Amino acid sequence: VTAVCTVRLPASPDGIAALVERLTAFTGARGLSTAVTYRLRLAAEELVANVLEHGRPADPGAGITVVLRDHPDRVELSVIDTTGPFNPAEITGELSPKAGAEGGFGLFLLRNMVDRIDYCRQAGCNETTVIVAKEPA
Amino acid sequence: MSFEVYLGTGERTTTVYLSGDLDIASAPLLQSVLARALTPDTERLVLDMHEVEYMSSAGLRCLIVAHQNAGADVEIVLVGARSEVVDIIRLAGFDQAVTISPGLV
Repeated sequence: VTAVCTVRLPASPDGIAALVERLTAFTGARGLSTAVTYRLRLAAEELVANVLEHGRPADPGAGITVVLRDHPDRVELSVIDTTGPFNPAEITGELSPKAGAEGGFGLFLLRNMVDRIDYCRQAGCNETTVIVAKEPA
Repeated sequence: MSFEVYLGTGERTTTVYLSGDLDIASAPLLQSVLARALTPDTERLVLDMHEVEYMSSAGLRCLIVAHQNAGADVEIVLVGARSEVVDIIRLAGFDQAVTISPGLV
């Protein structure tokens, strides 16, 4: 890992704006491409929005932690929350535009815009990590 | 980036000029403006997306709802969207329901 950025957010919609600001500052400082930044931002927004919309935090004061790790060939983005067990990688299936209007589309987009999704449950927390590969130089 | 939207209404065509981010924060305003843009006389709804930097599922959901509310007789044209935004529209299959144009409004 060549650089790490940790952001702790309140479990509220205001947290997403703060996260986007920190994320874009990090990717800008690391010289990451517009395409990689876009995919990371999308992953961050979809994962955090999913926690806010569907999760019930065990500890409302705990908030959500997002960690960015910049590697030579990829960037990892982890979202850690205290809501009930939920593995986004297990949500599969195709969605029609009708389904998109009704919700659930965020995780569909996530699956298709990142290179890998890992999930683990430990110490009462969900930790979802997505990997976005950098383009070849 | 902040979100701005302007509405231009013609006889049969309504044009919505969008700039900034179509995300979870801007979605309520976008949905409201798109609902106002559609009148019984609207035959064509043009969304100028040249200045749109980013769109998430929340933004796309607004476009899909507008399409559903407009009905089959209204043509929806998305103009000037950047490649990442077009990728998301295509992933949703929404490119089958609208016209995507790279050019000027």
